Formats: sequence, C-alpha cells, structure tokens
Amino acid sequence: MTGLILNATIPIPPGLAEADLLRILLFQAGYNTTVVTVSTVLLGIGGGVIGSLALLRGRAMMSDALAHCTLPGLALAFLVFERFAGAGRTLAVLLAGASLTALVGGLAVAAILRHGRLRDDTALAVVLAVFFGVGIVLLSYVQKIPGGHQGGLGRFIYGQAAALQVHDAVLLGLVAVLATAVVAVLFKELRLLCFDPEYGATLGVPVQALDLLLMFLVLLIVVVGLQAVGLVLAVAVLIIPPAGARLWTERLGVMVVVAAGLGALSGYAGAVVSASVPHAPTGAVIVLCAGALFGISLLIAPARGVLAAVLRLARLRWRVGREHVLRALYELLEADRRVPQAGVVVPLARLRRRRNWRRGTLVLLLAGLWASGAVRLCRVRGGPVVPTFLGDSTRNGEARGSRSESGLGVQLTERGASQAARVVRNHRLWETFLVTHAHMAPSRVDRTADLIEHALGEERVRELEALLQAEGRLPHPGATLPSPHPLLSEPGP
Amino acid sequence: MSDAWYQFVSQDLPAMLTGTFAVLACGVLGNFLLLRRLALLGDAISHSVLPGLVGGFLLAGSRGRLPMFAGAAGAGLAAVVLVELVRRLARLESGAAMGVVFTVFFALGVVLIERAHARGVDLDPDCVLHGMLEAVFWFPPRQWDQLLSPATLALVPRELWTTGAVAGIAALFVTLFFKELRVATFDPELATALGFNARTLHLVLMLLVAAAVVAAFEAVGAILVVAMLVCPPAIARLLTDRLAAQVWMSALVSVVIGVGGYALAGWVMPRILNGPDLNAAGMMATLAGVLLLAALLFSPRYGWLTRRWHTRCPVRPPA
Repeated sequence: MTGLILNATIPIPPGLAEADLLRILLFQAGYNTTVVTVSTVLLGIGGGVIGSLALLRGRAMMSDALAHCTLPGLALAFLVFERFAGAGRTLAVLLAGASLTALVGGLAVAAILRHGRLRDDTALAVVLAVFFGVGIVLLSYVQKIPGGHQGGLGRFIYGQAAALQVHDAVLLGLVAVLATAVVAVLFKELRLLCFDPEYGATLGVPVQALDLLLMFLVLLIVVVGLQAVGLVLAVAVLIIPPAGARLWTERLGVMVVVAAGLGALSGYAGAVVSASVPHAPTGAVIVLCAGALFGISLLIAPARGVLAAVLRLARLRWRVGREHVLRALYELLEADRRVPQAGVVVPLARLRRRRNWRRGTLVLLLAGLWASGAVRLCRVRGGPVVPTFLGDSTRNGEARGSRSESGLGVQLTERGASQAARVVRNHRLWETFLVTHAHMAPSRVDRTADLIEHALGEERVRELEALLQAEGRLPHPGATLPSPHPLLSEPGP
Repeated sequence: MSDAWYQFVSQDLPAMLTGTFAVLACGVLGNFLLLRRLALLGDAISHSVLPGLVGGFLLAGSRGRLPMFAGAAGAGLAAVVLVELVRRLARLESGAAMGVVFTVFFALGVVLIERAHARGVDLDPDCVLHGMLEAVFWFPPRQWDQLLSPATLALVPRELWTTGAVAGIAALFVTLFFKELRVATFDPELATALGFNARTLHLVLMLLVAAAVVAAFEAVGAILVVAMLVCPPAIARLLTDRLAAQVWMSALVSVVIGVGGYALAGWVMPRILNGPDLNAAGMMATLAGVLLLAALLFSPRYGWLTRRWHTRCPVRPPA
C-alpha cells in the first residue's frame, strides 16, 4: 500500500462564512455553483425516476455493470479521435463512446443469461469486471502515448461536478424530462413489467422491448451522470433514492415521485455541502447525502420503516396481552360456576397464576385495561373461600379452601365484561372449529386458538358462527360456546 | 547474471508471482461465492474496503501495514454485515442492498481521501482502481547462487509474502474443509443435520474472502478483484459439473490468467503495438474475459457453438 500514498503539501483554504452558505442554499453563490446545483438536482430526479423501475424489475446492479462498462468506451473514443481527428476531448464523442461500450456490455449480460449456464449475478460481475479491466488497459495505453496524460479521462471515474457547465445542465435537464415523460406515458406497461411480466406478455405488452427501453434509459442516466458523480458512483443515483422511496410507500406512482424527490434532495444537499465545505468532492458527497436520506427513511418511513414496524408489533402485543387478561378473568369466573359479569372480584394472585404472567407485565396490562375502563381494582378481604367443584390451584402452600388470598383484586366493568365476552366467543369459535373441522384433540386447541383468535375479523367470525349454527352447535349468533376442554387444566404445573 | 535476466528476476518475476497468487487466492474462494449466488458480494466488499484503508491510515497516522490491513478487512466485513442488515430491515433484494451499502462506503472513502489531501497527505485513489502490480520490485544480488540465501529472501517484497500467504491459506482451507464446504454450499440444512454449523463455515469463508480481497486489492485494484473472484470459477463452471474438478480447474485457470496476463501486458502487447507496457492487472482481467468467451463458445458440454454443432448433426441412436 505504499504506492497508495505520496506526500504532498496542500494548504487548507479558509472555511466559508455563514453568509456564503445561505447564498449557496438559495442558488445565489455565483454562476458556477448554481449550474452545478441545478445539474445535480436534475440528475437526482432522472435517476430516481428510472432507478425506481430498475429496482423493482430486479435490475439494480445492472446499472452498476453498465456504469463500469463505460470506461473502455471513454478510452477508445479518446484514442480513435485523438489519432484521426485530433479532437479526443470533445465531450459528445467521449460520451458516445461510453454509451456504445455500455450498450455492448448490457447486451453481453443478456447473451450470457440466454446462454443459460451462468446465473445473473455471475453474468453481471463478469461483464463488469472484464469490461473495466479492458478499460484500465486502454487507459494505461492512453496515459503513455504522447499527449495522452489520461486525456482528462480521470474526471469520469470519480466525477468532477465542479467542471459542469451550462450545456451539461441542459443535457441533464433534457434527460430528466425524457425519463419522466417516458415513464409517464408508459406507466401502465412499465408497472406490469415490474410486477408481473408473464401476465403482461399474455396481455400483449412487449416485455422484451420494454426491458431494452429500461436498459437504455438506465444507460442514459449513467452516461450523463459520469461527469457529475463518476462511473464508480453513478450507480448510486439509480439505486439509493429508489431504495429509500420503496420504504415510504407501497404504490409505484408514489414511489417514483418520492424517489425523484429524494434524488433531487440529495443532489441539492450534496452540491451545497461540497460548495461550502472545502475538500468535499461533489459526487461522493451526493452519494453520502443519499445514503443518509436512506438511513433516515429506513428508520422513520411509515410504510416499511423500522420504527413503524417496531411500533406495529408493540401495538399488536399490547392488544393481544390485554385480550389475554380479559379472557383469563372471564374463564376464571366461569370455572367458579359464577356468571361472568361485571363486578365479581377475582384476586390478583389467582389471575396471575392463570397465565403465569410476570408481575410487571400483568400490572402494565391491567393499568392499560383500567385506563380504558374495562376493569376496576379493589381490595379483597381475607376469609374462607367457598370450595368449588373443580377446586383452585393449591400451589404456593395454599391448602384448598382453607384460606383466601387477601390483597388486590380485579373486577370487570360492564364494558370490560362485554369485551371479555367477545374475546372468549372468538376463542371458543375457533377452538370448536378446530375440534370439529380440523380434527384436533380438544386438549391441544387452546394454544393453537390463542395464536389466531386476535386476528379473526368480524367477517370471519360471522362465517364461523353461520357454519357452527348450521351444524346445530351454536344456539344463536353471538352466543358464547362452552369450552371444549376443562378450563383449569392450563397452565400445567 | 545478465541484465535481461536480472530485470526479469527483480521486476517481472515478483510482480508476476504477486499477481498470480492474488488471482489464485480469489479464484479458489470465488467458487463458493459463485455457487451461493454471491458473485456481486465480491464487488461490494472490494469497494467497501476503501474507507477502511484510508481510515486505518489516518488513525494510525503512518503507513504502518497493520492498521491499514485491519481497517480494510474491518470495513469489508462491516459491509457484509450491513448488506445483510439492510436486506432484512428494508426488505430489499440483495443486489439493491449491496448497491446502497457499497456506494456509500466507497463515497465515504473518496471523501476521506480528499480530507487527507487537505491535511497534506496524498492518497492516490487511482491505485485503488488500477492496482500497483508494476511497483512490486525485488533487488537481489546479481549472483545466481546467492538468490535463495536468507538475506536475499528478506528483501522479497511484502506484497508477495501477503498474497502468497493468503493464497496458501485459501488453498489449505478449501482442501481441508472441502467436504463441509460442498455440503454447506448445496444444502445448508443437511449440513446442520450432519452436525456442523453451516453459518460458522460461511462466516469463515467470508472472512477469508475479505482477507483475499484486501491482499489482492493492492496488487490488482478494487474492481479487478471482482474479475479474479468471478472469472476463474465461471470458466471452470462452464467446463465441468463436478465441484472438485471445478475448484482444480479454477486454480489452473487462475495461474494461466496470472502468468499470461502479465506476459501479455509486459512483453507481448508492447512488442505487437510497438508501444509502452500496459496495465498488468487490467490485462489479466482482459485475458480472463477472452478465456470466458472461449469457454462460453467452445465448452465441450455447455458451449454455444458446441451445442449448435450437436443439434445440427444429432448423435445417431445405436442400431
């Protein structure tokens, strides 16, 4: 790695004042900065729009391969025109060469896939690496011929946004408009291509032609993006904003717009940061901004973000937990041969043993139920307990029927009683269904039903009721069935 | 020793051996990446190594070898873990997850290089892409009989030692754990049932890939590492259906690519073009591409032309 490092002394330019930053933010920091900012924003829009479709088509890394395939084209175009026309540095010529080899590379990937023996990831990796290798060989040749000095080709590898000029901005604008227009016009067809190409083919959508069109658009973005972000990072404008946008929505139309927005924002932020901080290469900073936006999206996006998922899960567990408490109360009362109704007190300790809750969990759940007005807490007086037929649990050294637990007790309110009845009804409906239709042993249905009862919708409940009523197992809709298993058999010792 | 021989021994031989060892280490390990559909992971790792290299250098404040190597390997592994994390959390396909992670890592590396630039240290990003194979020199004494004395061997460039060691470790690993690797590659559940942990083996493999990438990185450059990881196995896969044969063949192809690529870049092409030496690492990738094309066309079983030939004159059933 010694070769990596050469010594040089470059003075650090003084940082910019805050007023400068404000001017940059408002596009008023001079002509060049404005051109660069506008260009990168346009590139971000185009990349976001096209990248969304490429991502959903499963071609995200295709753009990476295409980007690397531009290198031999750049070098070849330079060599050919330097030799024959003496005008190797013309931008249009270089970009034409880049597009040509990128196109050849894309076709090579397609050909290898058609060949059938190597899989898609291998095909992409092979084409990417070999084309880039050829490019490096050509570049080393360019570097050593007289008058070569890489011909300024280095700026295409890492990008040199500062050198963007007004005609580049116009070009980027045209490409962004073209990309948006194509996507808008062919939206239905492209959507089919992304989600169900086989179905699309049966509808007469030219799937292969659309794939080619998509590849062509990706290529266009990559080639015009070379100057701004460079060929190693050009793929980022096509992958990161769409990947971030995917987290915000489940709808393609929205995703395309969000991706364009994220792309524009990262282009803007990247240009501003690199203009206001010394030694911050624009292309790389744009990619870092896009990466930061992706990270933020991953955290806070409401549709598929991590926080949203955690919240959803917590909310589900909260609801399920409270439903468990309600059912436990109901079933304890039922087991005591008492009518499960509001006002009857169940000692807290007994409730806890019902499901072996941890103390903190049960307190939390009861607090939630109390806050929603489903239960009340009260004190239980110690005293003899009427022995019931089934008896009570005799763990913890309690002799049966000798002493009652004193301390806190829980009673259902009217509202809680009706909620509990509904929960128990769903549970029993599913249990009975499992016993009678899925032929499960009655002793095993309780846990299985536990997994599904909270997710039974109104409609499914009505279906189950109709089914069981038709078979004469349910007296009337809304009735609570008897439990198909002894209630106090669980949890086991 | 004549001048021509001395030039060969001091310049060409070490560079050629370094390149060949780098290709060998990557090529042998690449077989298992290819079969697990992780071919692009090599691409991701080789880009992600950059910030680790620069960061290791900046933290240590010197060109010490260990911090840069550790930083690079750490960044490579961090990228692998992050790709998996992004893939699961964002529910993206693995290609997209790689694209997100490696571009961000590479961009971070480019920014770090520029910042180092500002502090008066010039890290040349081009070497990251091109490799520095031509800068591997060995200056032994000019007498043949002293060539293998300990004092001379101490002068052997450390790039050669590193790539040689990694190639040796990779070969040893694949030989020793061949059965386990085969089972874990094709049927991880069976591997677990047989009583060894396929995940651990996978992790060790990834660790070795990261080491091979880092070691090969300085020799052949970031993107050519991808060629070294993917091309020899892909060529071998076109030629055989058996894993053992594929691994042996990929090793052979690696040696051909390493030696042939260097020879083409250093001797053959300059003579033909009557021009300067060409980039050796790039030429290795180019040669790999040519060999791959040949395999795609002429492989006895899977070749495009061979298959067409067979369909045109089908084998007659025995009478």
